[in-house]
Amino acid sequence: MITAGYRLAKANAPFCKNKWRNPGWVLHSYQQYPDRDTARAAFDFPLPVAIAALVEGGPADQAGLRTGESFSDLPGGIWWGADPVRHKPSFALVDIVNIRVNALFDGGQAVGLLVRGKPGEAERRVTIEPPAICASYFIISSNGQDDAGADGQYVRVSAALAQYTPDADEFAAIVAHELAHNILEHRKRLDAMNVQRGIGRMFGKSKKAFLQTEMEADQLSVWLMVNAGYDPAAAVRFWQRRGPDKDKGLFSDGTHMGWRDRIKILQAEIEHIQTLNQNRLPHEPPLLAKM
Amino acid sequence: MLRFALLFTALFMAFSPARAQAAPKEADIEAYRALVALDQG
Repeated sequence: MITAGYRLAKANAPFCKNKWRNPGWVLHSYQQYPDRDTARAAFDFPLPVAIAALVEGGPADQAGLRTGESFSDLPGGIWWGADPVRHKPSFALVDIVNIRVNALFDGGQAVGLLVRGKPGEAERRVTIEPPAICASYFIISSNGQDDAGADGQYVRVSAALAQYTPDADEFAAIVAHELAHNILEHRKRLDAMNVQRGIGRMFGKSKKAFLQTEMEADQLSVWLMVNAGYDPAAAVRFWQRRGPDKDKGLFSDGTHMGWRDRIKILQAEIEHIQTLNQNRLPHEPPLLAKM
Repeated sequence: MLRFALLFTALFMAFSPARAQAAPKEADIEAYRALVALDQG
């Protein structure tokens, strides 16, 4: 997840209005898992939040950080006992650490972090200076659903959907679609329009607004993929398999286009991209030129 | 005496650490590790 997300967010940084300095890691906490004892048995957690994954060759990897390590002196301190929804899976602590770390990087300077590893290992200080890339966190959820989503800050793909994709390009197609929602600030736009998110989303202006944002995310997604070196035709392949598998027909809530129409939109964008000089990457996506 | 023995056994079963906290299963541990492998991908 972080490999695909980081690659897409970095390659398209020149066109993103909102950027974060991203260290290229995914954090996790035993609190986010359905069974915390199993999570503690599966992973090293020197503190309740630790590094789950690193982008190979990314800023954190180059700084010498390793999976399983934690940060012990974040500004403002962290009350590690914070557990607002005890006994239910919660990303609350990961969210707090992400916010604290983002605030550190906001200064634009190299940042020193005190790192704690396995029991018995001495704490050490590492210096990290990540580049600013398109703003988003990237996470895999274990919610039992077969879906993906974007809320303006997080790009989330469920484990079931990730396992459905046969290769890195199809997986990147899902991540690119959700990242496109965040880059285009769809959550903010839908909130400003006061759209209905319950059953009301299936009617009137709410339905129209959701359809518009989904179409835009499809359009932008293939540009993001090409700029990051992924095969954009993988988005088409994904829907050719997924569409017939999941077509709800009349039972669809109507907030997403049918899979055949989505393929037409993706193909039109790919044909547009193919008219451009492929030696001059990255291509500026038309939707982002307007922002 | 029998009643006391039964009560003692019931209390022991109820508060036994082994009963209160079963050890995580290896299959569940591997499933969580597979989940984190997706974080990397």
